[in-house]
Amino acid sequence: MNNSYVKCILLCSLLFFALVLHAQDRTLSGKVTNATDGSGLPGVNIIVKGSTSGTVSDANGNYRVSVPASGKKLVFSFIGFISQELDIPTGNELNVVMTEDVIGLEEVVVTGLATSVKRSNLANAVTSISAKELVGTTTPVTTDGALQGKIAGANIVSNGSMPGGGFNMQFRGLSTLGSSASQPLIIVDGVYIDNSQNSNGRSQANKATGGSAASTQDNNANRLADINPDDIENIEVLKGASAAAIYGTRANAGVVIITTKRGKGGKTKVSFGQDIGFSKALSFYGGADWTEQKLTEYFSADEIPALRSARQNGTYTNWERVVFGETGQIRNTRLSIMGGDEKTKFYINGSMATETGIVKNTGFDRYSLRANLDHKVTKWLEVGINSNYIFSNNDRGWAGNDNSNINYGYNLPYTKPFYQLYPDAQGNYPNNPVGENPLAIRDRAINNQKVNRFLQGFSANANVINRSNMSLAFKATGGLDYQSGYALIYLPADLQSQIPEANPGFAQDTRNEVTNYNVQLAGVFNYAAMDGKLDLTTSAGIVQLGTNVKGNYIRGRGLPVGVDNPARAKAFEQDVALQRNTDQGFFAQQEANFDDKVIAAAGIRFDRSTLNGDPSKWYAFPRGSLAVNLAKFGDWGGDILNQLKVRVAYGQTAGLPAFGALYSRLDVTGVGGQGGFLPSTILGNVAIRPERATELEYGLDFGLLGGRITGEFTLYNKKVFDLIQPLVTAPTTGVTSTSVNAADLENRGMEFSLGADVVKTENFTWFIQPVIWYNRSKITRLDIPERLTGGFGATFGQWRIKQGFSPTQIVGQPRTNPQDPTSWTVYGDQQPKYEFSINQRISFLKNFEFSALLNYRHKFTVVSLARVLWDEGGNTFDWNETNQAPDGSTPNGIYRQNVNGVDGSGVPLPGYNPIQTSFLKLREIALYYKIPRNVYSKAFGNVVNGIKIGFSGNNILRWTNYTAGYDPENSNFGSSALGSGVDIGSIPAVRRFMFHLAVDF
Amino acid sequence: MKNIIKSFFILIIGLLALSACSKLEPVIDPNFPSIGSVANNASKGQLNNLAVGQVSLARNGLSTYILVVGTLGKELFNFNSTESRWMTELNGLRPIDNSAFYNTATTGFGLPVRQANILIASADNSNSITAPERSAYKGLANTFKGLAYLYQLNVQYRNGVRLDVIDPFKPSKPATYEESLAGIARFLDEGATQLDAAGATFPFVMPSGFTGFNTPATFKRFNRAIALRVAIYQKDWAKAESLLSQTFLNETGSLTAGPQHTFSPSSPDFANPLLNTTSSRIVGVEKIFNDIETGDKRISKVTVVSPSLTYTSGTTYATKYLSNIYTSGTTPVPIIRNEELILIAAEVAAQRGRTNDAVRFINIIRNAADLPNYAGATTSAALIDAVLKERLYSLWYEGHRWVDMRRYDKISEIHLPVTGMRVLLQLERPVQEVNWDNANP
Repeated sequence: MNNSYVKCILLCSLLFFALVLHAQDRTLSGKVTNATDGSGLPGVNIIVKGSTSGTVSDANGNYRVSVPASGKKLVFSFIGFISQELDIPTGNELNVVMTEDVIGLEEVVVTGLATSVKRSNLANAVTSISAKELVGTTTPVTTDGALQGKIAGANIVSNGSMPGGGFNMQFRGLSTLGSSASQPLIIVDGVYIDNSQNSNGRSQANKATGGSAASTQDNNANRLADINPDDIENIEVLKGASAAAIYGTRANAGVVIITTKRGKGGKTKVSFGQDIGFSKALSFYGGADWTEQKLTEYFSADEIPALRSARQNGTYTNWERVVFGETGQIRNTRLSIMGGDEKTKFYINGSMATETGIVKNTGFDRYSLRANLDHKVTKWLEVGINSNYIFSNNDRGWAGNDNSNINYGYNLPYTKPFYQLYPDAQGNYPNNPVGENPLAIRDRAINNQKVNRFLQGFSANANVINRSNMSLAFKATGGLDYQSGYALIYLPADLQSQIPEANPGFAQDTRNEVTNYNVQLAGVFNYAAMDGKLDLTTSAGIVQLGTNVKGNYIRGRGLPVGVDNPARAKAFEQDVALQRNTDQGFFAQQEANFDDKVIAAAGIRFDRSTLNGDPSKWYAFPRGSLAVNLAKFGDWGGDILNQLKVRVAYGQTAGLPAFGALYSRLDVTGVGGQGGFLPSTILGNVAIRPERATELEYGLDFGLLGGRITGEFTLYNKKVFDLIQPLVTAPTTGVTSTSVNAADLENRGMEFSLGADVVKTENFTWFIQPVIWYNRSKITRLDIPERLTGGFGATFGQWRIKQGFSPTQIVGQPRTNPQDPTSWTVYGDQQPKYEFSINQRISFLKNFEFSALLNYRHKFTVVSLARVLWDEGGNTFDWNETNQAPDGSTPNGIYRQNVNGVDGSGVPLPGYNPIQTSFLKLREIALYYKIPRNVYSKAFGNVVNGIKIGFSGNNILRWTNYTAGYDPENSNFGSSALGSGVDIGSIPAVRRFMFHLAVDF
Repeated sequence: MKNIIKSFFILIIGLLALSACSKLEPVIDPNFPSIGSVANNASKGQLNNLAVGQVSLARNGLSTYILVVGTLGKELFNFNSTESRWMTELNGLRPIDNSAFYNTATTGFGLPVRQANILIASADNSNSITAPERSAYKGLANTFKGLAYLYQLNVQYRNGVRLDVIDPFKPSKPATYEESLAGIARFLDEGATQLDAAGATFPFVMPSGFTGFNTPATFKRFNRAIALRVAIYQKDWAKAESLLSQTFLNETGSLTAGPQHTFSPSSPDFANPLLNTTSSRIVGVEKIFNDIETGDKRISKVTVVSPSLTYTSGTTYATKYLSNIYTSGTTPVPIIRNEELILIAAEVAAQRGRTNDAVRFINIIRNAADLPNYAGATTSAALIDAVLKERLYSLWYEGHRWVDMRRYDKISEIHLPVTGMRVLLQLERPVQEVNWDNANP
């Protein structure tokens, strides 16, 4: 960072904080109670409107607040309850009854970089996920996994089922065709965090990719996995440009704002939680029987003796079940302490999450320690820090693409059940005739990734002016995300697949150091005009962020037996890859709220970045929005229609070119003892510009029957311009491509969610929330030749970039016109026709709570090479059946070894070609029991305040017509914008069961 | 009140000014030098690096090329346990895919051509070198440019090659096969002339695979050997005749003499990519080695394994012959050998009606393989068949069989080891090449 810039920022901050103003007080007290059961509500925020004066109710709901003479109204607010604004009485007492806010109308949503707005006044469909929705049902492995099926407009796909996660998150269709960030910007308590997938050389170890470059085929977890979901208080998802415009140049793929838990003051609360559980494979894929006739006709008769002897000895074994049949163990422990007083509040949480996979020696451990501290230095100055240290340790095993028979998904499909793979008494693993023994890989190879990570955020708020009709605050926020990753890939030299290598044995030691920092300074000026009916908020500020990435590795081939240190090898490859970039921006926003009836906002942000061709050029991102609460204009809605809001919002964002797009580099080579230069086949483009999105979103929100039924309906049109595309040149020129701004696309979609308290009695409540959404994408401009991308060639299906068509449309062989080399057969779209989910919560007998989340994805296309391998190996579960070939006699497994195209009505036939599928998954289900206090009060007295136990499950049921692999959710290519979702070499999907215990002290 | 609002806006303006005043410096590529750095007045050191890069790049695409061409000509198969398309698509059992990995056999030769064009331009734009040095760089560049184009053309055949790709965004359209061959001959001839003007030594250290060919004069013999290959493809027997003596042809010398690609598994070099691995085993087509004459030493190019190696993915084929040519990551790969030159000499003699010479050259090869003298007919056709047969065994796994049978219009005589297999005449133009021409007619 530019040093003088930092100094400037510090100087200005000091200036702001140096301004102070005063006020004088009287005292008011009372009790806040819960409307449902009349119990006292602890932790309610009570503020004298237009002042800094405020307090929090105590454990029994009692409060005491000092009121300045100028104070006119008191605002009572509490997360999950509808807030109230009451006139300050002349007396000294005010009791308040608060009602639960089921759909979250009252929650405060971050809309600007320094301001927020009540959900009921929001002009965008911003999805908020509370802690209860996130982790209340079951404990997810990672935060992104816990969002599946919960966000209208999001397509969140698991990349595989190895412990430690790995997810692809796409909001409202596509925001890039692969050159810019495909994943949303993630901000944790004001810190812009890294969510990349670090490569570790695994796909070089098994030759899935050649060369030495970083690969998306390493099948690693994205680093959001480091964030402990249990720390999260709330997640807000800004899905498109209209909501995210104020985040400017990094927000094209959306913004995920994560707020962690903070101390609320009052009595110190200690909470202990323990989950114990297990996981199992959801399904198996192989198991076709073998006969001598099958060997003779389709394989090799030479193997008949082996088949006979295995049958005789009883050693005929389904090896898939041996490898994937383990039971994974889940153990999560957490202990949090929160509390504080009027001046200082704290939240501390330590957690350990340990999970082993369905394959032996795989697993994910995460140790996280967080301390959030808030302190009121003076009446007008508050400071806060958030510190989080994380250590995560992930053994991901060997899944995905492979070219050396090492991965399970490559050796098991070919391993016939009459082969013998168990090690002998000396621990020697027999050779597998298909090239590698999966048990040897499982027991002896290493694919481990460890991360030490430190997230440090800070905030300072100076309320410089605070009058009943006016306030001015300065806010400084920012922080640091420092990550040090260490990965080891190891294939012992005496493995069957290594022995024939010229230099047997592979080890790679990879170090990744990622430093992200960001600073933001903003001023917020609030002014109440027209006797408080018109609320005007002006905010403005500056932002700087930077990224520094350093990746080193040493790769050794030719290792001594038993040695996993690559430095002891015979032949080496190594690299040091650096990446640096800096972004600067400034923004201003004006919001106006007329009596909660009409809420309008307009803003603009300017950004520049070293990733752009011209680093000094400012790009502008305007936004504007309008929401009208129709039901507040008079009483015409009666008792039935309580809320009716129409809203419209427009905004622009951008996505930056990837690092390196500017550079035409000379690579380095060596031959015969001499070193040399050679040009990269990819040319840089010094005129590259960011990809820019505009979004127009409009919708209708309604609340019926006193908020028992609420709904949110949204339509959007998100256009992305200047998409960076490889201008694919004729490769015989020696240049394969250069990045150019050459395409536009359009995403249109609908999101509809409904929430209903179907039954609401003291002993039984039933809340149901159906959500449905879809998105359609279309390329509206393409200045480069149409092209295929992703996948493994047109035989198996690829993504087609072509004007007038969806970029996620999947096409492949055969050609519909043999003379026309681009007349591909269309196999449908990777994006589902629609996605649907139903969330239900039922509480009964006072202390029981049942919840379930069903998620349905309708008709999407999967490129699967998984079945290809199983069919070639003769082991697919339905290989021997003959119901698929037109002749009625060819085994399915033989018939499918070809591109079979589509049937008369365009439905893909089983074969090498892609197939279309749908699924319904029971994502989450749980039953909890809150043990009544009288049961344990004798034993524990007042020490224990609450005990909750429960059972839950994650992905435990699945219905799908997908038969081309284990699970339609899979991605060999990680979280790419295009080309993810290729199923190859995958392992079974996993169902998880857990028992939960939570104790509050 | 007014003052406060005023001061607020002053502060905001101050903030904005702050953003504007601080500069955002461009980030220079922290990882690699740039192509631009050699464009103008390159130093001798930089040119030397480009020259070595040129030699290194001659290996680009080569392994795919040799395996694809070997498969197409049914002299060998790649028993690849993770990729059945080697056996199916390349053997005509399934439609050929112009976007599949094996198109590297064409596209892999684009970069060496580009390297040559960059090296030539950099040498022309450099004031740091002498005229002979400039000729040396350009002679080296043109030689490898011709070689790369020749491989490309072998795979594309009637589709031709783009002879001018100096501006990658304005490449010429593919020339016809005959024009392409003539163009390649011109690059090689230009290189030879430049090597003649390049002085006694190269300004750079020639990589070790070129021992014996590491001065402009000796390197030119290699250049002429490639030009000879082009001449026989052109069926220009007179030119071939005149070229023979300019090459390193040596009737009494080692048959393996010739420049080689060398390999080392440590980066930035890489290991020999033609080795057998667990997942990729290069096997001889069984009939070829079953039919080999008794006592032919060239059987040692394969080892006989028992039981036979069986391939069952997509198609079924068994053979007992496993390639034995490359055994370590550092085994070199010949570019062109004396053995090929002698066989070309035999072919040229047969074509020119110098029957005795043809038989004499054939016998050099046969005797070296411990075989008796050639005893067959001495008609031109019979001698050509004899040369083709010797070439099959002498140059097995060096990428010649398919091209040889094609240039004598004998594709239909290639033995098809599996029913349903076909011999493709050429690969399709890669999809990106087609797309480029569609978009830039």
